Amino acid sequence: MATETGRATRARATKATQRLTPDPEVYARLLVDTVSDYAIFTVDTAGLVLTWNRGAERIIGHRPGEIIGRHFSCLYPQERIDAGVPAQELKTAASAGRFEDEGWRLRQDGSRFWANVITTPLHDPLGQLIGFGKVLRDLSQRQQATERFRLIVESAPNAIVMANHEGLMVLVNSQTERLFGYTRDELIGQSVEILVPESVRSVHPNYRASFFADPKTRAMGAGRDLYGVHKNGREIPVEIGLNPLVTEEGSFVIASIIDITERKQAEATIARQAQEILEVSTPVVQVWEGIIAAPLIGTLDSQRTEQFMERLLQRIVETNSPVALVDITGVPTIDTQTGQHLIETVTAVRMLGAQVVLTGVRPALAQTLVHLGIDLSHVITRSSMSAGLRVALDILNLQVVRNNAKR
Amino acid sequence: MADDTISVIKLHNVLMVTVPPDPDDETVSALQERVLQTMERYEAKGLVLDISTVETLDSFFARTVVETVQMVALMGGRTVLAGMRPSVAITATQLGLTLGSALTALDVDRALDVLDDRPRLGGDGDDQ
Repeated sequence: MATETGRATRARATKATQRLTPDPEVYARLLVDTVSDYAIFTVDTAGLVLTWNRGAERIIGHRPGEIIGRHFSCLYPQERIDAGVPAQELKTAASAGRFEDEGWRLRQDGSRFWANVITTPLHDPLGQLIGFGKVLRDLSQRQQATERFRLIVESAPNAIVMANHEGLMVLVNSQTERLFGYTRDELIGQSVEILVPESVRSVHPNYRASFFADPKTRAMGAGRDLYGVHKNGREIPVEIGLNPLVTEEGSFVIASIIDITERKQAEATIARQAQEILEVSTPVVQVWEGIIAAPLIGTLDSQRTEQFMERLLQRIVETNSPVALVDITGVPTIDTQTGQHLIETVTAVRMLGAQVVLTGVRPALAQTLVHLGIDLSHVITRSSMSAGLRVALDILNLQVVRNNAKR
Repeated sequence: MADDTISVIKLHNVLMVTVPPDPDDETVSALQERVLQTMERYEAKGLVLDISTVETLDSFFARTVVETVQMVALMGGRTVLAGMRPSVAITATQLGLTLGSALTALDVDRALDVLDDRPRLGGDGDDQ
């Protein structure tokens, strides 16, 4: 400020407001004293507190009267004092010209808070070290946020892996350790490809590149079955969600990995049982030479009808039976689609050179069929299986004769 | 496939033709030609088309068969399609192909029964 203009301005200002002290030193001191977002204090070479600003009072709690003259190590937790940290800090600051630390400090009431502290050595005009200036920032809120983030990541039910642009893992949670069998130290800094099955390991970097080319939250490998590789080489079926994350440090991807082994097993069981039910519910049996019978039980959908049709036709050919009794007593209800399926079955059977006799048409079913306008007029239908069997015997020119009738 | 690889066998008054597997359009047309010529020569009362080796049924084949059935009928004979495979029947049904008024039988043996005045064994289902 020691310029000609500066002096001139100051001179004018002095004239106009003569009662105010124009000394910039005062402003500097006022600034330090008044700032309340930072704790600014000084200590002498021995570490005894010399000055204590309003921010220090607000953040740490001591009033100037209480703290001035005390050693600043009272701001440290006991274990750090025992480790000789406070003294070491001053030493390092004196030799390096600056020292920055982030760690726990104590408030007046004994509670801990996370702080960033910059220690600067202070020299007199002759260059003699006369003390240290300390600027302390309360980071407990940031620390809380970080801690919360860590807890969320750790307590997440999924394995979470954060990888950078090069595919190197920078963060993993405990679920990841559990799922893949590696320790955290074995994973951090390694390429995510070590968790990828051998078969796709060579193409995986391309997938990564395309993700970063168009970073969007999405599921990995849409429609494909994904596997992760355990440390012991076992492949684990997984589902993976990808989230892009852009920070000051660059682009990252957060992969959330769910072990779906149990779900896969359950799916396989359900599929097998569905198949079994399908087979159990459509038996096709031979009741007489040239006559087979198939009782249908349960609702008929497209898939079931197709399976049934295949089995029925197959059995007709195998048993060389010109008549097939299809019993629908066990079919709860018939809709237009089911009716269509039945007609298709009848048509297909006819093409083989056999014919269907539809039995078990109960009154309710007959009403439904007529109301829905399902035309079965060209199909032989009967209300009961026994009536159907009589028709079948008739078609084959067979007759059942009572034994004693001959006598 | 050339015309002469299709043999039309005459047994008493019935003609029998085995349709080759996977017949192309040309073969199907040639087959119709041969059948009608033989019908004329022997004045047969029936025709059995053995399609047990046919694995696919396309619309041209289906249409030609239906036409042949009608032509043979005009010349005084009845036609029975014998031995259609289940898979073929299912596909045909799903495609909506129909065989018109053609009679069907599970095999050639039963086809002969059908022609032998026992029409109920066939698949035309004239029950009602």
